[in-house]
Amino acid sequence: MSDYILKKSFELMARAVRVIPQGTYGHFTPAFAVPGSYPYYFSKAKGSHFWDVDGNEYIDYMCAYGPMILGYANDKIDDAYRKQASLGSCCSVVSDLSVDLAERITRTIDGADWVMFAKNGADTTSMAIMLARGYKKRTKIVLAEGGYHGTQPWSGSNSVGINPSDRTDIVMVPWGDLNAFKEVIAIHKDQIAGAMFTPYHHPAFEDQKLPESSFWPAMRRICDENDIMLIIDDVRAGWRLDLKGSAHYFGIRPDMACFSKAMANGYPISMLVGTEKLRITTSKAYLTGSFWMNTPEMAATLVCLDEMERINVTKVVKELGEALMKGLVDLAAVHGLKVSISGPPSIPFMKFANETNSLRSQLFCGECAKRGVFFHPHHNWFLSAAHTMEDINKSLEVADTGFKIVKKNFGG
Amino acid sequence: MIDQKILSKIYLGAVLPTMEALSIEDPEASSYAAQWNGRIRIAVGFTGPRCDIAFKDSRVEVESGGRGRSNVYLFFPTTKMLNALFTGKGLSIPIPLKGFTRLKGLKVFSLLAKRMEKVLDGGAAPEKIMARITMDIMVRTLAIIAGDDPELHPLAQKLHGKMEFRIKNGHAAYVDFTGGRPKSIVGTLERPDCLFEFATDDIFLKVAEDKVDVLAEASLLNISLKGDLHMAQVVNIFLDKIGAYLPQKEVAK
Repeated sequence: MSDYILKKSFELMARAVRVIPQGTYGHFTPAFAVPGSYPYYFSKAKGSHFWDVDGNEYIDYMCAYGPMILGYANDKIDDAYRKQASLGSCCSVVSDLSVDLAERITRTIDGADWVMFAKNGADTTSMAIMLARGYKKRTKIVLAEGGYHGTQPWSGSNSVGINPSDRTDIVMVPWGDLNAFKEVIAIHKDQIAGAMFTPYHHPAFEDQKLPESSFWPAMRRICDENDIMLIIDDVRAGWRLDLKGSAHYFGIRPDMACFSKAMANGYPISMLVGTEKLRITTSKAYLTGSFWMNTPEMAATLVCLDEMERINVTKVVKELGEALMKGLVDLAAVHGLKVSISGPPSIPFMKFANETNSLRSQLFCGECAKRGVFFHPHHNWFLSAAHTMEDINKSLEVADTGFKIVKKNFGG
Repeated sequence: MIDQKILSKIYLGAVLPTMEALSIEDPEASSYAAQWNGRIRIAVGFTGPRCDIAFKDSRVEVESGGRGRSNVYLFFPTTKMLNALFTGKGLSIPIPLKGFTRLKGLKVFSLLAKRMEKVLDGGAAPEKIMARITMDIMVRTLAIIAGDDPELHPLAQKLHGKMEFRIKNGHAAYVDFTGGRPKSIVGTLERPDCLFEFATDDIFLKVAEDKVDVLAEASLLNISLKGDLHMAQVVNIFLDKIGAYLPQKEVAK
């Protein structure tokens, strides 16, 4: 297999940088992958594959960084979206679909007594901390170091234009560290309104961290004892561990949970769900967005939920992820390389065990991209139900070459 | 808020060593340096930063710490007075504790300082020299503020490894974050933990002047960013802070 040529990608990027800061920004910036090895623009996507503007085909293990779970351009979901769009997208009053979807969500997500729809995960994380503060009449919010909840000023993911006051009431603890959590509660006694964590730790650049079985029950207990709202940010992990929510998967009920990404298989919709006790506070808040009640996304979500349930999506993506990870570990060993796999099989991340600077990962992932397999060296990967064992086997063939090149360049 | 003591350290430890490179690369500076052999010590207060500027055979070496014998000893009672020498703003009268009769040495130092200022103002030296001295000032400043700035030091403590800035087929310097105080070193590494490589002197100078979209240039392969990108993200915060400490002309115009 010859290396891909990325001529049109570069030509487009040269045009883009004149009119778009960074050419393209945020998690899509090619600068954080391996520029020169990765495509910059796609022209079409179907199933588990996409094609770049130069016509190169990729098996995609990033799934649009999570939203794609049933395959790109899924006919059932796209038909539902198109049909609803033909009836009107946003309107001067909301659609009956919002009621249907909210009822469906409360039946699906464990502990969800009410639902607030929005567009992106960040809408819901901001909403959640606002409601926790409103409910508790306290100011402070506890977050985990290295956690990601969007790019809002309070979230800590940005360094530009942030006032210290934006984060005055944010308290950081290491993810999974109950003692540190207890310490900040003692320091800020009766000031902490809420604690927001991802269901497991999925930082960029680092191994993912799954919770000990005792962690979440203990966290729930500590929050209850101190009257702190426990918020789960399930934006990234949601729908790949358990359709009832990742919190259910790990055996707890949060007070609020945030969802987005895969809930409509790529269409923009997010939601905050909460328990009964927060209903009145939520009812008093003025929360809205121009497109939050758009109907095609809701139609897509309803079909996506049905389809995920019908095919038992969490089992499918878990098994595919297990096959891919086992294959990678075995292949690496054949080449005398040691890799570390972290996170759930459906949202895995692979690093080389003997490095912290990602140089081997960058070389490996870059070489795989040049041969049609889209992994990421710094961000966790995603499996979808559209991936097949044929995809996995082809990807492992390419990975074999990638490992060979790493071995040649680094020796081990 | 700029800490005047840190700023003094930057002037003595990052900006003043520019004389070293100029005495080698810049014929005019070299001719001044050739006029005197000796050692000038600059010190701020009794416990503040200090350095020696050694002139020997038309070369200059700037050594931090200020130990041993010196021919001339310029004492600045406060960091503000030392900093005013570089900014040209405010009172800057050093007390010549020693060697005030060594007029030749002081004259040579003054000529060199003026030449350095002219070069740093831009346009007086070829692009290659500008890139070299700018990179050295940047990397030395980076190490100083990573070690001393109260906001940046906690971030620097979490970094482990070496970050190199390199101009393709040209000058290179790196900061060592492997433990203890961050150190700046001129030179290249076979395999830095994080590499920021610029295709040309011009691209580097534009980055230093904050006149280029770095991530866009990285996508266009005019800048290569490899290795520990988390380190790069943190160092980027440090680089932004350099602009707060050093007025633009000290880096490049």
